Amino acid sequence: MIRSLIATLALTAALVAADPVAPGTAAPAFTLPSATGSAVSLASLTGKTVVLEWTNYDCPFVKKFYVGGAMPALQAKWTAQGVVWLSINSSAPGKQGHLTGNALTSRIAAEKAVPSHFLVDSDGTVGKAYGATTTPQMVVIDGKGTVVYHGAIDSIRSTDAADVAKATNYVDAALTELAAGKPVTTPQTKSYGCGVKY
Amino acid sequence: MVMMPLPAVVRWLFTLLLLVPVWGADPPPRVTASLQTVATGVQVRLSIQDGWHLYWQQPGDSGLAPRLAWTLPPGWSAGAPRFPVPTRHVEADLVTFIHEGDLVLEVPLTPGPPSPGGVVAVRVDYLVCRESCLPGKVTAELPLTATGTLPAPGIPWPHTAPVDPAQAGITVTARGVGNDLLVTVQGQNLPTPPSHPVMPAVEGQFALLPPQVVQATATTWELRLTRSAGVAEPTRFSGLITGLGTTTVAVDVALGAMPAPAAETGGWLAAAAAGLLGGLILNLMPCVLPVLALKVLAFGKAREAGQGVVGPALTYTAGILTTWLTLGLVLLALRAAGLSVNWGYQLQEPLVVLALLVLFLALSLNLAGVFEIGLAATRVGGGRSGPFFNGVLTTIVATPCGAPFASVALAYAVGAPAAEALAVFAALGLGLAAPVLVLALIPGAARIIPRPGPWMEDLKRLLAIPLLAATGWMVWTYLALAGGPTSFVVLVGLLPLVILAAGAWGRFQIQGGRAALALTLAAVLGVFGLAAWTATQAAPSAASGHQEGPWEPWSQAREDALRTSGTPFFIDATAAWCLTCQVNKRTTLHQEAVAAAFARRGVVCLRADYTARDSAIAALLTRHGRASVPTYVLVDGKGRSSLLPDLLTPTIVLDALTPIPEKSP
Repeated sequence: MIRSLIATLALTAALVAADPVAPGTAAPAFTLPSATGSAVSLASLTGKTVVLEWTNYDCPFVKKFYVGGAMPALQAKWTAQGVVWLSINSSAPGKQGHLTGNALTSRIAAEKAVPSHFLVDSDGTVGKAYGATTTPQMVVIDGKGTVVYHGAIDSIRSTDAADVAKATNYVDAALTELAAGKPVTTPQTKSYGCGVKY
Repeated sequence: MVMMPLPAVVRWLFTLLLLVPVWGADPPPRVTASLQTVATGVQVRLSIQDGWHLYWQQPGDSGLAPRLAWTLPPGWSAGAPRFPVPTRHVEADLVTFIHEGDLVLEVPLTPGPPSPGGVVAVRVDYLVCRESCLPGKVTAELPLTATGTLPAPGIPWPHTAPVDPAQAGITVTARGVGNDLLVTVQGQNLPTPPSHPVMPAVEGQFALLPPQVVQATATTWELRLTRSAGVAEPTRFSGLITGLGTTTVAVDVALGAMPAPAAETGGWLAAAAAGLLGGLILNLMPCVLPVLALKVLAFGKAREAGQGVVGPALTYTAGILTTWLTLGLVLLALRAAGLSVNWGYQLQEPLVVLALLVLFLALSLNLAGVFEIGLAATRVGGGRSGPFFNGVLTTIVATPCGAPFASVALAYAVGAPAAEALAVFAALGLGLAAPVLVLALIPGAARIIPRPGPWMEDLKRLLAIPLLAATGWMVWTYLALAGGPTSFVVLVGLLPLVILAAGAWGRFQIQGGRAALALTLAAVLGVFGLAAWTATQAAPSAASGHQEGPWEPWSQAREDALRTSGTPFFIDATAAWCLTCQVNKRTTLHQEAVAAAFARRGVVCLRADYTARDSAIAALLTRHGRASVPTYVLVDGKGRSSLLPDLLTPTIVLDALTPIPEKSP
């Protein structure tokens, strides 16, 4: 009995780690420390549209969206409209992209990033709960706490900042449709990027 | 300078020590590119440092393929680069396809007008990775000759290109089932496959982490790929098949074709032969035997009356064939409509089961002598349509009864091209019609039927018993399928009605015989008893998720988990409407000796209940080349599976279990 229970739990955990949280399902709750030291919980953001951006400033696929300022522009555009933008880094301590304290705040400033909060997920719990496998990887959650988009930032898999303008930005499209009260046309894509450094 | 003070040396060494991990993590990787002419075009060689890697055309879950941008003389053109065989690389649950060392790409180049002084130049945008990744660009140039043409081909740089299936002596087919893509590799002396032999060539289409091997023998590998969430259904499968020895095979096939049988034309002929034999055996099954007996008895009567039997026998055959072909056409139409259907589909509709139930009940009442079915249906010399509908009836009552060989043939037919599938269905019908045809067509054969007499009536009544049993079984199936108190009420209302109707008809036919009344009462009591008994039996099995001893419900996730952990398991794919399944459960699977043998080896028992339509179970059956239940699959700790026969005995199961080691207590 207990063994089968453990097996079931292990299986569930394995499935949770392997499968991205599907659109239409409830966004797993979490509370994470932010770069400025405060704690941010998803539950406190009910009623607001929330964007989760898995990021790692040292990853070339992430750099693609920061060198030309595409990601900060998108963050500024949507936070101005009341969307809560949470950049999350799930790198384990000692792995690429793991930053804390002053090193982190100065890096955020250097990248000209303007998310609502930058959250530090050092043990990777939240990343694994959402099935985040790459950076960047994007999740859009509506005001009711339902995942409405999960996947890539845009349609062109590359590290070349010149491709950003040519690509379809899935997150911008999802947020636009959500703001207009329409269903999201493309609720799920396959994300691309560097592996999350769990 | 020559003599450094000791503390300085220490400090210098210390600094060096600090620097080492930094270098280790991120040395600037040097990627160089070179170009040369070969017979087929040009080769682009990318040389990278040890420990770093580049990506294949489909990088996998992360990474990026190198991109080539050509600068060519006017009128010249370059094709898509051909990549060599990559290596599968797994890191933190992300699967990538990588190239270490030199990556040599082959690019077909179509020269245009000579261009003296011209060059062929390529710029490669790449992502080079170790633990972390760095993007970069590198260029290479190939000056043309004085006359403006490509230089003479050099010695080709080593490039391990994949080969065609034909060159490797294998055939590869692929078909989609639900969310899965099933890839079948057929050949001779195939080695044991690695856990992931397939490298899909298209990015993002399939989950790359789950094990792919469903089963493997020396002649066939059955492989499965699961589509990534949110990805459209593919129409083609292209990718590499690895693990075939020294060669890797490149495949690009349209989906939908059933695994080509080993011998091209022999496949469907063999299936048709199996169908013929299966149809023949079907005559002996409890559903059909009584109806066949009626038919044969009718022959006796016809002979007595001096009537011809050939015409009616042919009409009877036509009735059988028409019904089988109709069932086949419906199956093909459902398949064309994109439904994953298997044989037995008609029994997954509660209404069909209810209709069969009424039919069985009416037939058994008829045999018991409650009434006569309009003389035409059983009399040979009667109306022209009589034997035809008798043939229809024979097929309909045969559908719930499986027979050895028939299931093999049906499994083939379910996935075969339409014409071949219909041929197999027709063969089954011919087999079913064969006894009557033989009796009618071979002069003198009919003489083996004993002369009609009162014994015929006794035999008919005796034959009512298996049909009544079949009715009880359909009741159980109906309850398991429809479930709930409503369906029970339906039965309680319907069954007596059928019986009363039969009784009333019978009274009308024989003008108020007392025997008919008594038999009607007996039948009512019998059916009520059966219904009450099946209701108590069916309710828990429908409600409790089939927790029968060690048996747990099958799911793909559970199977994958067991495969991953190397646990042996046994799948019993069954259905309430499958009589053979119930027999096997009773005689074998639920026997103590068998259960103990499973337990001693830690074999997990999974039950896949196909009573109602279930695309996951349909896919499971298809993967094992089966169209219906029963299907018994034993998978050992190394993921090798074997299929057990349809009719089980404890010895068969115990023998199959022998190679799996017993657990130490």
